[in-house]
Amino acid sequence: MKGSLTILCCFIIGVMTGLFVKLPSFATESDLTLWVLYALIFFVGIGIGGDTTTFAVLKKSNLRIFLIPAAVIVGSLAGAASVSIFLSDISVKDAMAIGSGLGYYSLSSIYITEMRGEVLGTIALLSNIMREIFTLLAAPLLVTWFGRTAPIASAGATAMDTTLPIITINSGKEFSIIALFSGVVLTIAVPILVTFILT
Amino acid sequence: MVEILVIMGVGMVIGYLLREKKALFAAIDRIVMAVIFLLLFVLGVSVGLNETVVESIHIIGVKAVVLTAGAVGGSILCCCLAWRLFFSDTTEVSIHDEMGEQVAHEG
Repeated sequence: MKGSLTILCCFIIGVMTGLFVKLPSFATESDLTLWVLYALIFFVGIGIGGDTTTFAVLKKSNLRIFLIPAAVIVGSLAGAASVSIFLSDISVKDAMAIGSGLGYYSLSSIYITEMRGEVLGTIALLSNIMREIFTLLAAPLLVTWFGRTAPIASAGATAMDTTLPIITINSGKEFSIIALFSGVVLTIAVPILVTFILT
Repeated sequence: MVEILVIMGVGMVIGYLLREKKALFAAIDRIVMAVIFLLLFVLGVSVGLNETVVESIHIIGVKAVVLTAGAVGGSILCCCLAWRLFFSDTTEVSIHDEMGEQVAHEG
């Protein structure tokens, strides 16, 4: 939660800078963001590769557990695609790209901005931040209404870090390993999904 | 955008090879956070410079809410369905067993 608020602040300060500060042209017209994005992906990869608990969880679980993150992906894409009927100027494909952010707002919004421009990138950022904040706030209700896997689905990729504590508290400790697994798989899946949907 | 996947793959291999160096990963976590803050700031700047976004920010917010509702609702339904269909034999007791925890018996 604190992390996502900091992110939101950075974004808002950036917007203010863009609106009110006269920037030199090299800051606005270069491919700098693309290279920084490459660096980010590289470091994220190192982090995932070096996380020994990730592999321990993957090794321990049987194949069936993949059905949970798979269901989250199918549900998110189908859900985002179907509500795009109400949004006249957002194509099904773009809606699916935003849905495939799975709560991983930093990465997905930067990707979508690179590939589709600022308008869609901003929608992706807001939408995926909302997903995380909603999960944090609504986890107890989700368990009551839809069962103990519901917060894991709602959390998407964030189930491995920011929302893991709240899932553990509300769904129970025995579900935390499923949440962690689902979050890991979905985190790896986000860049792959966004890339495939938008190219 | 294949280069993104290649870069991530190379990173994962390097990370796996260096997995024993714990101090390095604390540093990398901090680098990742800093780079994310920087990127979001830069993203904000490009949004601030983009008149279309600035003029329609309220509409963009509503669209984001609608898409979030769709994605979250769809994933919850799909996940609950998958759980009912394929994990119906996985009661809480058997999860406890898989986790190697003590199972409390009723009665």
